[in-house]
Order: sequence, then structure tokens, then C-alpha cells
Amino acid sequence: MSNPVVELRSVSKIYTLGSTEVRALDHVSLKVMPGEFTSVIGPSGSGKTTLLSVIGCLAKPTSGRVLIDGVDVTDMSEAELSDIRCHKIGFVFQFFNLIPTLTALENVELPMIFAGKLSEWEIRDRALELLDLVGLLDRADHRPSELSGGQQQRVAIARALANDPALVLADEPTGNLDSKTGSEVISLMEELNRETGKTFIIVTHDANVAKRTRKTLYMVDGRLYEDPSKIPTFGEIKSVEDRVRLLSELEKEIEELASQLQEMKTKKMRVKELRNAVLRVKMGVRRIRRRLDEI
Amino acid sequence: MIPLRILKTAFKLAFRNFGRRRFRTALTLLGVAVGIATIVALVSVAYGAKEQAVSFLSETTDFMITSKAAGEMQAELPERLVKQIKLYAEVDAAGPVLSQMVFINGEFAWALGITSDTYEIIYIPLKEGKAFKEGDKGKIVVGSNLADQLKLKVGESVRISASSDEPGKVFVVTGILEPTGSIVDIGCYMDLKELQEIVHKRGKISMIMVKLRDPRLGESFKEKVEKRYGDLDVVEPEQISENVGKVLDMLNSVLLAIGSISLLIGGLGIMNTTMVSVLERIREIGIMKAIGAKRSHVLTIFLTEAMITSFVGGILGAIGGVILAKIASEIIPKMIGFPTPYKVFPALIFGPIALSVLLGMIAGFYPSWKGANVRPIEAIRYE
Repeated sequence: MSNPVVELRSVSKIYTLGSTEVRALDHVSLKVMPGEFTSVIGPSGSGKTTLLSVIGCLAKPTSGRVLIDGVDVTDMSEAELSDIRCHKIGFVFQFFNLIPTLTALENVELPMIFAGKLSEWEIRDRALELLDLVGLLDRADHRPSELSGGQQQRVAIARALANDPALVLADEPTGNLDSKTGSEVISLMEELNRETGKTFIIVTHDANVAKRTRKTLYMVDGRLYEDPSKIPTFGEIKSVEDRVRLLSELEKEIEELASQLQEMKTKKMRVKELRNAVLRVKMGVRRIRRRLDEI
Repeated sequence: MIPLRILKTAFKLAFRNFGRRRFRTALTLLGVAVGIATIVALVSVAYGAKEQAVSFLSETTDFMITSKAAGEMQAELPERLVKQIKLYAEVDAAGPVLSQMVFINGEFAWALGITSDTYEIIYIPLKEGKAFKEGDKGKIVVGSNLADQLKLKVGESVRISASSDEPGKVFVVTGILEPTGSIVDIGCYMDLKELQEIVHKRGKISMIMVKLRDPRLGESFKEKVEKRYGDLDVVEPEQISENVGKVLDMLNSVLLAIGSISLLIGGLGIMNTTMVSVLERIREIGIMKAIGAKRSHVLTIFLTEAMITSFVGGILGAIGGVILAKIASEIIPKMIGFPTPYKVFPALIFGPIALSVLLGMIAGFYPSWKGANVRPIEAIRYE
């Protein structure tokens, strides 16, 4: 069997904000095999983005090892890391992040220019091919400002594939799109995963996105769980004390949920906040349901 | 080595960003151009003046004898000295010159009182009219520059006086000289006696022009005269041009200091613009690094921008400088009555442009380096 594309061995990432330490990643271990189509779901602040930047060689872990395509990148220099990012990883961001002064075609060419391996015509050919793949060949000469959000994200996907990376990392790729366009973008990724066999890791807090992936990982408080039932406080219950504790925790959860619902009813919220709140409620409901199952 | 394709991309990005920020780019260009233009104009005029000073005289005259007492033109010698100089065996011809600033029709100008001996030595071909003749009372021959400046024609009468409140004397212009491109073009030539009378310096001269029988005798002649007359300076015209050069060099270094300051300000302008550009596009830098740009790539992109600015600024500055020099060479003579030619040569154009690019490189380096070292993760979060 081939190497995992991504392997994290007990990776921790601690941010120090003034005097407080934030454990964004807490001994996370993970293996993602080639061709997987995986999502990482979790509420804001659970450490998803940190996880993605560690996998994407944009941030170094505080401890643990990171292997990309079988290569240990933990101790690599900045220059070596940029090489890894260039050749092994493609990024898709929430805010599309295209270079505003370059056309769609030039944006797709850019990673290949940085890689410096192909000739000018090969680059042009491949960029056109990729734009065709994401269905935007007719928009090749448009600037990002002349494209819709969904189109920009598709250009970003084409750009992510430019250097034929082993892995595509998407950070909230639908976060800035309406649900229909977001769904189309996910469909495109599914299709690309199927056709090119590229490994995709999509970080999201949208359960609808997570549902579309073949495998979903759950991120809670800097810890990663493959099986949601393993999320703590669902631990096996052995004693009466445990049960009492569990019931009181359940009570707390329900209270919290109630107050959250109350807040949603009364407080004015922006779309993003509302979405987060709904997600929190959903996760709360799920936790309560599991707890009830346990009891 | 930076691959050509990166450079090409850097150029593309640079020009598109210039296009997006035309006003800022124009201001930066202006800053650089002004500095370069100042330098080019100053050097151009200074070189022109230096070159012109005595180039014509050195062809015709072997030595000029002046008094050690004062500056080149103002010192005075007794006229009878000419006869004594003529007695030296080495001397072929010797002619007196009285050099004096006078007013011609109220305008400040340079008059030279000469004799036929002098005229033979410094012989200047005639453009029109009659040549100079000793003893011609009330007649003058004028240099081409002066004739242009005062719009003099052959046959015209002019009033010449030592100062503006004296009545002076009326002269007729009998001849206009061929332009020689040297200092003689700005003079007005008249009989020595006449000038002595006008400026009240009877029996006085400023210098003696000497032509030797054989130029190889120069050393011994110079030695003999200087030994005999302790207060005399025997100089070759080239030496005078060197002295003039020294003064001009000093003037030059002052002017160059001014130019350098304006250039420095131009450099700071580039630095500032590049810094703003980096900060503004910090997110773009983060994206580029995330998709595989190396530090050197980012450095190249921003440095290219700074260098294009300075290169274009340098070209504009060089053009502006030549125009400025041309304007100066037309205006200054009207103010000081002394022609101020300017000279344009390849090094004068390409030197400052190269200097400008170097400046852009130095000024742009720090901000570009800052940009190159931006951590992608921070840059992308930057909202």
C-alpha cells in the first residue's frame, strides 16, 4: 500500500496570546490516504484552520511530526517548505484569494511560473486545460473583479491543481458563497477527486458540505475525532457517579441549548453569526442525543 | 539566478499595478526625475563652461603673461613690459591685452583692448565687415556671441562706457567675428589706447600674449622670465583652463551636493512607495507564497517595480536635465553677460540613468525584503 498523503503524528500547536496559551491543536494524529475526499468539521475556534495551515506547511507545529507524501516536513526551512507548497499542495481559500491584477488564465499560470519547470507554452497549455476542466475557458481573459464568486472559486481550484499536487486543501471553500454556488463548487471538487484521483481535505463548519464528503473528521477543542461517538463525555459509563455526572452535564447542555435558542430568537445577528449559532445548536442537539443514547 | 519567466511576470505585475495607481506612480517618477534632471543640467552646464574656457586660445597662443598679484583677468601690468618681453630671443611675437568689463549701450559686456601684434597671435577669422586694425579710432570688432546677444550689425553705432553713469564714447561696429566656440566669442575688440582711455587705465594692460619661435623653447623662456620678473606668472592657456576648471569643479561640487540631496529625496520617495505597495499587497504576497512563491520571487516582483520606477524616472530626468541645461544656457548669459554653453555627451545621459536605477535598487531593497519575508499565514489572514 502506498504512503499516506498526509500523516500527522501527535501534532500540537500552541499559540501564546499575551499570557494565555491557546492549544489550537492538541496531540492530533491523522492519516489521509491518496484519493480520499475528506472534510474536517468543527465550530469556529476548534482549530480547523490551524490544522489546515499545519498540513499546508504554512505553520509549523509546536510538537509532533508532519509528513507530506511520505516526507517529513517538520524541520524544513522556509525555502524547502515553499518548495513543498509549490509542488505537493494546492490551496483553495474562503476568500478566493486570486491576484486582482492578473487574469483568470494568468492566475492559474502563476504557480507553474513559480515552480519553474515547464516552458512558457507548456504553462499556457496546461492553464487553459485546467480552466477548461473547471468550465471557465471562455473567461480566461477576465480579471477576478469581472468574475462571480463561484467563478472565482473555480479559478482558484484550477490554480490549486496547476502543479499537479498530491493534495488539495480547501479552507471553508463555500464560506463566501450562497448555498447553491457552494454546492456547485463542492460538486466540482467531487468530480475532480473522482477523475484525477487527487486527495482533497475540506475544512468547513457547514454540515451540508461535510455530508458530501466520503469521510468526515470532527474537530473539537483542538482534538480530532474520526468517530463522533468518541468525542469525550460520551465515554463509557461505569458507575452510578458517572451516570449522575453525565445527567448533570446533560442538564447543563440542555440549559445551554435553551439559552442559545433564546438568544437566537431575541438578538439581532448577522448571517455569519446566525450560521454559527445554528451550527452550535445542531452540535448541541447531537451531543444531547448521543448522551441520551448512552444513558 | 532569477528565471526569465519570473522577471516577465514581475514586469507584468509592475505595469498593471502602475496602471492601478497612476497618480502615486507619477509622483514617485517626478521625485526621481527632478533629482536626476538637476544633476544632468548642472553637469552639462559645468562641462560646457569648462570646455569652452580657453580652448581657442590654446591653439594660437603659447604663453600668457599675467601679474601674480591678482586673478587672471583683473591684474594689471605696465604696457612697457611688452617691449621688454619682445627682446627675448625665444619670442616670435608678443601682444598686450587689456581686459575689462564695460557697458555697451548700457549692457554689461567684456571688452579687450589689443594691438595688431595681439591680433596676429590670437587671430580670429572674420565673418563680415572689416578686420581689426591698430589705430582705428572709434571702431570695434565684436565676437559672434556678443553680436548675437546685443543684436549688433556691421555699421551700427554703440556707446561704450566704463560705468553706467559715464557718458563714454560712441563706436562703430566694423566687423563681426566667426564663431569659435570659445571665450573669444563673447569679447568686443578695440584699439588698446581707446580702451585704456575709456576705462581710465592709461599705460596699463592685463596680460601679454606670447608666441614663441619654437614651442620647444617654452621651458627655458618661462624660467628666464619668471626669474627676471618675480611678480609675473607665465602660464600656458591650458593652465588657465585648469584654473578655471578648478573653480568650476568647486562650483560643481556645491551644485552636485544640491543635486544629490534632491536625488536622495527621490530615493526616499521610491522607498516610501515600495513600502506602501508591499503593505497594500501583503495579502497578495501571502497568496503567492502559499501557492509556491519563494522569497526571491517576491523580492524580484517588488524590486522590479522599484527599478522600473527609477529607470523611467531616470530617463525622464535625463531628458528634463538636457532641456533645463538648454534653458539655463539661454537665460544665464542674459543675466551675467557671460555665455554659458552646455554640453551633452553619452555618459551624461547614461550615467545618471544608471545612477537612478542603482538608487531604485537600494531604496527598494528594504521594503521588498520586508515583503519577501512576510509569513504567508499571517498575510492571508490580513483583512
